[in-house]
Amino acid sequence: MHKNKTVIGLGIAVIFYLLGPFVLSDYMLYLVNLAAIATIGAVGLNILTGYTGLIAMANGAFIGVGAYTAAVLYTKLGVPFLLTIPIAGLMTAVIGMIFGIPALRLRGFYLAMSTLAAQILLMFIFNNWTSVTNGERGIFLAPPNLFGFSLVGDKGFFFLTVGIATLGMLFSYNLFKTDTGRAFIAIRDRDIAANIIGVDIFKYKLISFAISSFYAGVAGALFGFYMTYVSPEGFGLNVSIDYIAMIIVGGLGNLWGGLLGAIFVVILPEFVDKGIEIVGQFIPMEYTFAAFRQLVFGLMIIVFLVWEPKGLAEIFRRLFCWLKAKIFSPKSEMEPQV
Amino acid sequence: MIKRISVAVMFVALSIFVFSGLGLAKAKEEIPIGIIGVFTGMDTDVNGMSYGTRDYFEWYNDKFGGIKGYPIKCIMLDGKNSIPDEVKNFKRLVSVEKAVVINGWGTGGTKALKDQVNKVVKIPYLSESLAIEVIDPVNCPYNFVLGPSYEGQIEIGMVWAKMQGAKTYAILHNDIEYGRGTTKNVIKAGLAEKLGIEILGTVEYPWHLTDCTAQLLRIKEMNPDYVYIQDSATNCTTILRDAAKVGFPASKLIADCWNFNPIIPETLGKDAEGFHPIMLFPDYGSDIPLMKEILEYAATHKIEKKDQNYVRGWTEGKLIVESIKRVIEKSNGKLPETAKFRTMIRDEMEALENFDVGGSVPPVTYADHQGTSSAMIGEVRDGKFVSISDWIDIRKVREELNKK
Amino acid sequence: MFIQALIAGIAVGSVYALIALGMVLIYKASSVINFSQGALVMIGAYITYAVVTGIPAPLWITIPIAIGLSALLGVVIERLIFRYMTGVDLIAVIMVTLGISFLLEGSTTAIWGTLNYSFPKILPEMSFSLGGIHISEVYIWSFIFSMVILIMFTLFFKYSKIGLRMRAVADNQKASISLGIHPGKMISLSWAISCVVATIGGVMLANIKLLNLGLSGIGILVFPVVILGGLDSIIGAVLGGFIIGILGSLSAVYAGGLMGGAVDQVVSFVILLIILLVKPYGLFGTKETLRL
Repeated sequence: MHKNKTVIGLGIAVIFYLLGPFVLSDYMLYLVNLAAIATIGAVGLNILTGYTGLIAMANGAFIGVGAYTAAVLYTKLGVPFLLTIPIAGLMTAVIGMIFGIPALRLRGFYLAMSTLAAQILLMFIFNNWTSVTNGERGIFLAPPNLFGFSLVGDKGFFFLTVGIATLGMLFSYNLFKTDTGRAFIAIRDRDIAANIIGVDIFKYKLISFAISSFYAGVAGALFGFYMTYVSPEGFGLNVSIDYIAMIIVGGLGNLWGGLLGAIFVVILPEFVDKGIEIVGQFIPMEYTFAAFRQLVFGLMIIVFLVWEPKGLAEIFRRLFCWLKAKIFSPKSEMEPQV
Repeated sequence: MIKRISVAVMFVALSIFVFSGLGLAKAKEEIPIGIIGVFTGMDTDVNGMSYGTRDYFEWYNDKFGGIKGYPIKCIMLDGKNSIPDEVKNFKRLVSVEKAVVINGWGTGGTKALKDQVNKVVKIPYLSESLAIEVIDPVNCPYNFVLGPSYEGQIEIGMVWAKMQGAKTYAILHNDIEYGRGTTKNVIKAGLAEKLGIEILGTVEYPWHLTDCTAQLLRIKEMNPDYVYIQDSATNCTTILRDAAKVGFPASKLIADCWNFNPIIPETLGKDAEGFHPIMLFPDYGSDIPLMKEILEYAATHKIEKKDQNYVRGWTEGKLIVESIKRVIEKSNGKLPETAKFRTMIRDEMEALENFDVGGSVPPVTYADHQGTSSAMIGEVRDGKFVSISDWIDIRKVREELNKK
Repeated sequence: MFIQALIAGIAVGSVYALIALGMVLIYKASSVINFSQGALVMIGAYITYAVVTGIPAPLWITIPIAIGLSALLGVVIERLIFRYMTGVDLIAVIMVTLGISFLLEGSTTAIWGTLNYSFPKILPEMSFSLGGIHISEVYIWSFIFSMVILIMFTLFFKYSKIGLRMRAVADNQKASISLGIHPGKMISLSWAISCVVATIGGVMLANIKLLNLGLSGIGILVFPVVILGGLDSIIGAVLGGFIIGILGSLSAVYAGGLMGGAVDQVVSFVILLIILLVKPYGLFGTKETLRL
């Protein structure tokens, strides 16, 4: 029974993956692609913040490092497109580790501050290292070729972004079955105790920074190729904050948290816009009401933190259990809490 | 239990909310036109141009019943002046709303969409940003702007300074593309040498500016005859205030078109007296034929922003409508299918020649995709802006200098 | 030029100090690190603007109203949000303050739109020239306010009953409850005071720049100040403000030509990084001890 369900689930996912681009409009595909790229970044950040308990406010800049690495390799050195993505990830992992070094001494808010400084410094480098980054001018990327097909537009990217996002989630799922993953959780829960039982805190903190930054780098490379333009504008502090919001809303330290949070943050403006459009037909609203998007976003974050700190992932889990209990087997008990 | 049910209901309701709207087919026989404006975040102080264009369409619909009987359907979206959001709006306008022409916004978004606009979708894109990279009728045939580029504006400032007998010039600019990139282009173009003006230096300050004293101290040491500020009103206010602080007169400061903004004299009072913004468009309420149309509209509608940006938006609306009108005339009063419609609008737009828009700019010839390369120099006198020069056409000046 | 840059730096530094004081106050009373300080500064300025231009009454009536409203805002924030946030993770606290700043920015946009406003001149004229620099009244008043608040807070926390109770609450909530202190009330009060301080900072800032949504950006620039001074040190916030102001001004004059751009802001974050590595608890902060 259980196995059957998995097969059915997988089947639906594969069908969606193969048919998606031909069913959805370009606009919907754009949203899906953005959500998939955001998922990669958010799953990565969740490893660092949700599982290891290290607050990082530099995810936006790390994504920028990935985007610039890929852009420079691709345009200036002619490295094949597919190869630039993992290299961008590795490069970002190195940068992430360098800015993770303060974690040797710092924790909590002070670590958050050091990553905030990293964000500002990296932005300064993007803007001022003009010989490489082309400064605020930005770098144009010609649409890449993949196996002879020009990867232009939203359909081609769908396969790439959704595929890589799935791989990223699978890796994250398996990571927490290994010693390394468990060490992360030990550090988050009681770092001093973890140290006493022989977990090398500094080493694992750095590994966590490296893995998380790798994800950010891959997301950045994809973002750059998708936008066909890389400039410092896209990697500011607001991006870092959006990513933290994603994992908070989605669910800290939950595999699905990154996915759900990314979808939520990408889709929320659409809901609000639609809502305003519909209400606007009856009550004339001027565009100052664009403010609603921010209001709703802020409100959602606060509501989640106060009301459901475990995030969307927990709400979905409960919803799922409840539906299952109601529909499939009315008499069976709820699944125990994980 | 109630909590769970409410969550479920909320979710279903929200989903229906979104997908019902997205799936709606648009009514036929309308001309969908997209506007990507800015209604949140930086730059909202100048969004009068989006309102101007939108209101022109509405006025035109009311007065003539649409273009040759086809009403304009205007879709105005918020691009937040951020690249992903502008790209998102673009995709929605192109693939969902089937817009035939787009009035875009920012520098970053316009550049990011360069390929989409010119190679993939092929849709005329009239952006508000005057970024020089897309003003290129050969490589970017679908990108249009209106007015001289920021580079051109700096040069117009120089030409005017030269007329006043200046020998030295300095440029003060912010550290983003808008400031730094533009300044670099001007230095590279080297118009100053041809004019016989020495650029003493360029001074940079951060985009999120709190205090500019230090940078102005450096300017003061250089002691140039005129200083050009490459930034918009928010930072320029700080700069003007700090200029007064270090004792550098406002009458030696020139700044780009976004500083033709009443907030500056209103905030600074006497510290702004003598300050020179570039004027690309006359002020709201000026004595020009185009203003009569606006006042006609204003009699029955609320005008969101009564400034020169609104006049600019109105002018842009006029250019778009004129091009579409010519397309429909050519296709015997029928609307062509979307892709062809877009290309035809582009062709007609480019073919506009000496088109009189009603005095807000000199007659527009769009072969260069800039429409006009003229601007006036303004001055703050008793808290009001007045123009103190005729239209200076920078293209003509360049041509003349090159002949020499 | 050195002297001029120095004076300009002190002037800017006193504005930083004012805003940092509000942040330190909240931390001292409730161990909450407030990322929404910038938004509070902004909305305080808007509230003052609305009251001063909207109510046809002399300043000695309108200013207290504006201050009262800001204090009320602080109480509302504490009562509706932070009352339910005891004993949660640090990241939740950081994120909730970020959520508050989205909320405040959104409401400001909904109420006042996105226009630039010219802030009314409510500060008494008082300016003079010093070392070739014309110092406007805004900076003088910021300096005066930051000094007055510094002295008031120092005395308040050392000698007043309420101040001592606030410190007790921050130190150990359970113990303070057993002593008959209502922690919620104390934290409410500290939010109210902090909002008032933010409003004063906002008025200063709106006088320097224009009144617009961009004012909230100062919230991030103030972090190097509080880290340098020590998160829970009032004197540290003030001195930190001056030091960061002066270093920023000097680096803009001397290094700006070489490195360009936002060098003064980057310098303050480089200082932040160095401080974190060398002396994480700042110049005057209290060292935290970790227990298992």
